[in-house]
Amino acid sequence: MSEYFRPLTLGEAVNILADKHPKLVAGGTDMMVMVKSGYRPQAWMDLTALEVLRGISLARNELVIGAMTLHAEIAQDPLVQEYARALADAAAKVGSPQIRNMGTIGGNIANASPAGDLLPPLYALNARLDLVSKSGRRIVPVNEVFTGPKRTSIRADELIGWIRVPARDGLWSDYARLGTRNALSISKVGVALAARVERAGGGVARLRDCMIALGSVAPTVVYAESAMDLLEGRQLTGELVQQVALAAQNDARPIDDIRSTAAYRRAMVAVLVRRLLERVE
Amino acid sequence: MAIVGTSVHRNDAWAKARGAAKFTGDIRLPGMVEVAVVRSPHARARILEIDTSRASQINGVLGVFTARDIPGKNLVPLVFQDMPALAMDEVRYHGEAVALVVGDTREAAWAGARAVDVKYRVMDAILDPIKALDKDADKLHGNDNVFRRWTVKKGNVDKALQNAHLVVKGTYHTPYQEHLYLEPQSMVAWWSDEGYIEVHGSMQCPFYVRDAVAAVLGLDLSSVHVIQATTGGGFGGKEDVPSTIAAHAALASFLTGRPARLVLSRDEDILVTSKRHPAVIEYESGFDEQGRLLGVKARYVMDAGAYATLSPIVLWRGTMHAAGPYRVEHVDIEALAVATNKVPCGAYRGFGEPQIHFAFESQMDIAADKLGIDPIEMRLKNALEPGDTTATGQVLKKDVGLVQALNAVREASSWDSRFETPGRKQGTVRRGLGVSAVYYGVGLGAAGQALDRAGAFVQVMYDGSAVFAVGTVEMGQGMVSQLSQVIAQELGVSIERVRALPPDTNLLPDSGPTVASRTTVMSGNAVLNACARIKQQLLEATAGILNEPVDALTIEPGRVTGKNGAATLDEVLHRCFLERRDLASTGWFKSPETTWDEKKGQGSPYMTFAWAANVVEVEVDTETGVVTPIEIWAAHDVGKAINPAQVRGQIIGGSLQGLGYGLMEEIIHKDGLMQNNRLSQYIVPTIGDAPKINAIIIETGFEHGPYGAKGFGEQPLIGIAPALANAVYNATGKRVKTLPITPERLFAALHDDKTVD
Ligand SMILES: Cc1cc2nc3c(=O)[nH]c(=O)nc-3n(C[C@H](O)[C@H](O)[C@H](O)COP(=O)(O)OP(=O)(O)OC[C@H]3O[C@@H](n4cnc5c(N)ncnc54)[C@H](O)[C@@H]3O)c2cc1C
Repeated sequence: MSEYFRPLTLGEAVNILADKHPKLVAGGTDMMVMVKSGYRPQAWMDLTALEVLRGISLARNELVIGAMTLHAEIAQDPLVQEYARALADAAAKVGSPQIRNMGTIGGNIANASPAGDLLPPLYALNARLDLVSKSGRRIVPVNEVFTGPKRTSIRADELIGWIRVPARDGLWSDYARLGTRNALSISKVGVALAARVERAGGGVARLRDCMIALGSVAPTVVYAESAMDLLEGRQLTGELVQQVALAAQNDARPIDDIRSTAAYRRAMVAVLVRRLLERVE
Repeated sequence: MAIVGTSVHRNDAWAKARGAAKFTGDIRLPGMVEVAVVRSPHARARILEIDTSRASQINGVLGVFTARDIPGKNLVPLVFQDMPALAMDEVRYHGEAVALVVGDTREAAWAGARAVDVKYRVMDAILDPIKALDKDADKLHGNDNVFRRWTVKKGNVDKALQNAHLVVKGTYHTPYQEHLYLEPQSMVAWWSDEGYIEVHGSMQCPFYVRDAVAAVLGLDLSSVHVIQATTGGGFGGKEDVPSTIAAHAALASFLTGRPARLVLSRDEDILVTSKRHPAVIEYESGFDEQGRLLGVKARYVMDAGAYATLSPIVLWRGTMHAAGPYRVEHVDIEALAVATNKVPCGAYRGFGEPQIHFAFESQMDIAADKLGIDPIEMRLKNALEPGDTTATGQVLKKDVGLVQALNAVREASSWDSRFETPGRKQGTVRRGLGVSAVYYGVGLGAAGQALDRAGAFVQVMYDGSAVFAVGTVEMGQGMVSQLSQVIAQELGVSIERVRALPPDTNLLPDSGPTVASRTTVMSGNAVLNACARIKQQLLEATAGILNEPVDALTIEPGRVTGKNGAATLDEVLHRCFLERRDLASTGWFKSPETTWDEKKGQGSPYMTFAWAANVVEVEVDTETGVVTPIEIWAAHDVGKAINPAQVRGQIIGGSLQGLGYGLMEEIIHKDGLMQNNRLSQYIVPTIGDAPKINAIIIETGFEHGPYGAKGFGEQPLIGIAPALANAVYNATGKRVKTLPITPERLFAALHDDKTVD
């Protein structure tokens, strides 16, 4: 039998974390799958009573999203839609209405699946994680947290408290994915793009600070670095888009698995990157 | 006012919608124990030793049982007598049952199952049916690995193909398909020391379950009392498999003396239960310049898996339909069901037909394209019509609705104004239209004729309510409502007051399986037969009330009318009561004669056929290979729609299953081990993938059907994949001959010229 804790305050939670190293459960949409296949930790800590970890606010040019915020809430939130549209798009594409009303952003991050839909937008948007433990807080860029499929550097005495996403006016962001069907499907490829769009005198756009993050095509989410370099500050012509798409393809390191093939995934990185760039307004 | 022919509400809907219906998983009996099954982790291996000592010591484990504990025969009897209930010396597929663990709780039973130590010596498995046919392949069955071979022969094909203006040749590959009924396989068995066993569970064929339990326990058939529980879907998956599940539950109950329940987990269910047979089909068709089909030569190889189960008769149905719903004089068809070390395949909606329909409807499309003939015209030129003779030599009667179905979908889809010559479309996203023609032989046919009979029991109470029971089952397909409509129509009782009792093998005669789209015809006629006797009683009583002869009387809802007056049903029933009339009756029906001459490869295999045509419209993203079905028009000749809403429901549901088959469903094996036996990995369509589906009903009236109805429940699935593939061709100019048409596969076809047809 596992021990079970349901702290009412963050202070209580970090003490239990330090003492018992419990397995955390938020919405349980990933955990229950493991429980069904026989997983039984020594202790559980249920985060659902931690109201402080719910909700979205805008503070000092940052969107602050509580780790317990649901996909459904993120998808519909006007602040997220304004400053981090890629994240809202991705949250809207997770699973099904049932999953979106149980699953949390914190769970999606901590689960560390290379196919987690929220991760490419968080990478592209330069999000940071606010990790809380008994010994204090540390703020870490999201892209430094993942060490492999299902593996993170989040310590056993830490939890994700908040996700901090820079909120800059005029930032364009977008997400595209391909799954195995239209709902309840894990991504075969997911691509997020974020950039500032400059359009001098109504001419051809140029992208600045462009970030492209690729999901499901490597052990963790990866940046399409060479594609990002190519784009920076250049006129977004059809020819450039084509070059960038091909470059992104080579930044991916996909594998064959049950959901798709490496060759298809690689080709789709190019298609999705091109389509995202063509949608830039 | 007619009740038959109207869309009355299903009488089981309310209980199911509220969660009041009791499924097997809801059954709780005093002292009930749970069963878990130890399963083979190998495709093929010799069992060296089964050590149960560690498992037996686990808290809550009450017993661990192997083949050696079986009191009767270690056999699940079906077409052949080749499948053991528990593997003895050798396991022959990944997931085959090796031992049973009985526990106080499900957790204890499963912990016990994980703790049974089985020592195996892994053997080379045979995984490819084509290689299994090699002369020097290892033998799993007989001296050639062929469970069954069937042929159809007519005329001289080689000559016909030589003289043909056009010969189309193609090799087609079709995948496994898993039923994915909502309720997993489940059974409860309760042995009584008085010497009989009661079995309740999820099933399509109570009489098969009875036979299997009697075999493993060595009991008389009359000592095995099988009662169907509310069943959450079957689609063929609960035809033969429940026999094994029941045998396991019955053994557990018999050996522990406690009521025992076995409910498969979903992953286990996908791993070990029957599926649609994968197939490899080589097909040659010859045509004259006008597009008339001159000859068909085909070789249809099915991957049957480790045991024969239903494969011989699945193959038979496929063979009977292999030339397509067309007039053709020269035919040579050979079909083989081949043994491999994979899960035994069995019945799945369509029963050997979807595979072969994919082949011949692709062939038709290729020919139409090459000859420059419109694909619907092409089918109309060749379509079987009343009075025609099929490829097997069966002369068709009046109820042949194929031409009507083709014309109906042609008109409804605005085909003539929208169909464009294939492969000429431009742009990234392209639309396409595709058509298919379908036929389905109703009932078990000549190969299963001995089983093609059905019984019923009907009783009218003196308060005007009625109960009935039949030997076929409700599994979600709507049987209970249709039969209630028949009773209400015949006897004037109110449909809301007709109640169905579950099938019970001791109280009803063996009515055969609930398969082959046979229930409406078989049980419908058996119920009519029972109603006829009760009706006679009602009419005789009324004759006394109204002073009119029996043949002047008509039963209407709630009353009986004569030339000069009418009596309410209450009055009639009161009179019956006073006159001590018997208002309960059994009924019986035997299917009309069918024939099959195996030597000649000719015969009249089915009592009749249902017919259909489908048009599927797709949108293809040529950069991603993603195919989005936009709309389906499906016209089905059902003889007579007893309940049109239910007919439409069958068409819509079957079409969606057909889309899954065509677009995404696939079982992946690696070295003989199944890789994707999970709901997150075996991908079926959801409502989010459903296009608009237009169901069109055609009624040609079957002379032996109740009110003219035929069976057709399987038919909606059969023709969707070929119409879809034809639509993809129409949109892209690429012919995909391997299902499913996944984005990966179509992308490869679109970007690799080697696969161009
Ligand atoms: C049917 C189905 C469909 C799905 N579809 C998708 C999909 O389309 N896209 C997608 O990305 N995912 C999908 N998922 C996966 C899952 O729903 C998401 O990853 C979800 O966001 C997980 O959140 P949760 O709150 O349910 O996490 P839980 O299951 O509660 O936890 C997941 C992991 O995170 C840890 N954890 C939770 N909260 C914290 C925290 N605050 N700090 C530290 N660790 C924490 C837990 O210990 C656990 O290891 C699907 C799952 C199911 C069952």
